Parts: sequence; C-alpha cells; structure tokens
Amino acid sequence: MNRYQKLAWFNLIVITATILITTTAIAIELHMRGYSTIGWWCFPAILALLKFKPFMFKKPQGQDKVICDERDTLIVKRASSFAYTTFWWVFIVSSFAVHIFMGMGPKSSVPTITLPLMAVGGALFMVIVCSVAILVQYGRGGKDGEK
Amino acid sequence: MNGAQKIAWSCLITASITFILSIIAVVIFYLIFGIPKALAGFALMGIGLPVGFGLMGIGGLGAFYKLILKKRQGKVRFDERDQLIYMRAWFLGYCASYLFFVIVCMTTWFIYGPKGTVSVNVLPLTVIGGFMVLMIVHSIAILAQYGWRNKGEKS
Repeated sequence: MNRYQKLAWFNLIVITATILITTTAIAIELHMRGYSTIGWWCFPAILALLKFKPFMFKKPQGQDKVICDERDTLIVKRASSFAYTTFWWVFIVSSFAVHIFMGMGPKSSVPTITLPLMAVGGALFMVIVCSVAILVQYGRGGKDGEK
Repeated sequence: MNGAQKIAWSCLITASITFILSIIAVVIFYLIFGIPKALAGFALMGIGLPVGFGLMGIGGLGAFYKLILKKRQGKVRFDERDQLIYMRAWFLGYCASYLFFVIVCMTTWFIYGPKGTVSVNVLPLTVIGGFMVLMIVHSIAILAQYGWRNKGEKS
C-alpha cells in the first residue's frame, strides 16, 4: 500500500468516525437534556485529526527515494477532478430540489446556518469521493504501487 | 488559434456581455422601480449564461460546438498536451468555483447572523454564480496556458 492509499484510508476512517461519534453524542445528549451543544466542539475536534496527516505519513527523505511517479500524479488528479465534478452535480441537484420543494415565494427561506453547513458538508463530501476514487483506481488493496 | 482557444475566448466574451447587460438592467430597474425589483436584472445572468455557454457546446448544444471546431480530415485535433492543459484548466476552475461557494456561504452567514434566514433563491443563484466563475477561470486558464494568442496549434 503506497502513501496515497494510506492517506485515502486515513481520510475515510477519520470522517466516518467523526460522523458516527458526533451523531451518537448528539443523540445521547438530546435524549438526556432535551437539547444538544456537543456537536459544536465534538465535530471539529475529531475532524482536526486530518491535520495530523503530514506528521503521520511523512514523505520519504533522501535523493534516491521516489515519492510519486506520473501514474500516481495522474491518479490523484483524476480523483480530484472526479470529486469536484460529483460535488457540483450534487450541489446543483440539491439546491434546485430545495428551491422546488420550498417554493419560490418571498416567505420561502432557509436558516443561514444551512450555508456554512453546506460548505463544510461539501468539503467532507469531496474528500470522501476523492479518497474512494484513489482507492478504486489503485485497486483498493496493496496489489500495485507498493512503496 | 486552435479550437480550445476559440471556445475560451467565446466563453469570456459571452460572460462579459451578459454581466454588463445585467448591470445595465439592474441600474435601469433601480431608477424605475427601486431596489428590491431592481435585483431582478440579475436574472439576465441566469438566462444569458446557460444560453451563452450552451452555444459553445458546454451546455449540450453540440451543433454550435461543431461550427467552432471544424473537423478536418487527417488532422489531429486534440493531443496529450491539449488534454493536460484542459485537465489543469478544469481543476483550476473547480478550485475557484468552490472558493466562490465558500465565500458566498460564509459572507451570507456573517451578514445575516446565525439566527437569521435567507431566501431559498440564494441557493440556485449560488449555483449560477459558481458556474460562471468555473467557466471564466477555466477559459482564462486555457488562454494563459496556450499563451493568449496564436502560439497554439490550429484546428
């Protein structure tokens, strides 16, 4: 399994853990107190683990070490492009779906908190799609590109 | 000038004309009706941009695309270099459009506050704005990589 595959698996595991732990914590707090504020710090706190990637998966040092070749670069570029394209399609469909379901009148409105949540959700969605695309292109396991 | 450069120039010109017409419409509506109705002038962008980009084949009207990119027998129209340029340009466009999306979302949130509400019309308008940014940055990136003028291959 090469460095990009490890990074992709790490992204997927951290994001899945963040969603599961935050959802569970919010559900428990809602059940116990009737309201929940835990999501505001629990979600970014776990997600901050993604920032440790450069320390956990260091680039090989030394002149004779190859970090990535043309094939790896192409795979990452394709995955990023696919992630952006998928994100835009999902965003377009969801935006127009909300617009159609809620109507076009002046009273049809959404809370402003929806917008930053969409931005964060969009970023997470792109990371997930990009990671899955990288793993699919490499063949999910350590079949090739061993480093 | 090759086909990709022609498309990029057409895209930039269409976007500029639509934007200028929209601003003129908003100013005229503002003088006649006042500010809430004046914003309807931006609807021109919603109509003009998809039609304009559609004419270039990006929106799906392939017939017009063929008028710009004339097929010639035995000529290579798209090689690995063009593919790389296109890929880079799309990537830059996507990055810029996502940045635009984040800026719009966060600015709206800061202006109206966490407990405020915004019209649902903001969502499709953000999509249209993001698409406009995507196409403009994509076109500029293509032109910048080919060198803006006739240095690229002809097609």
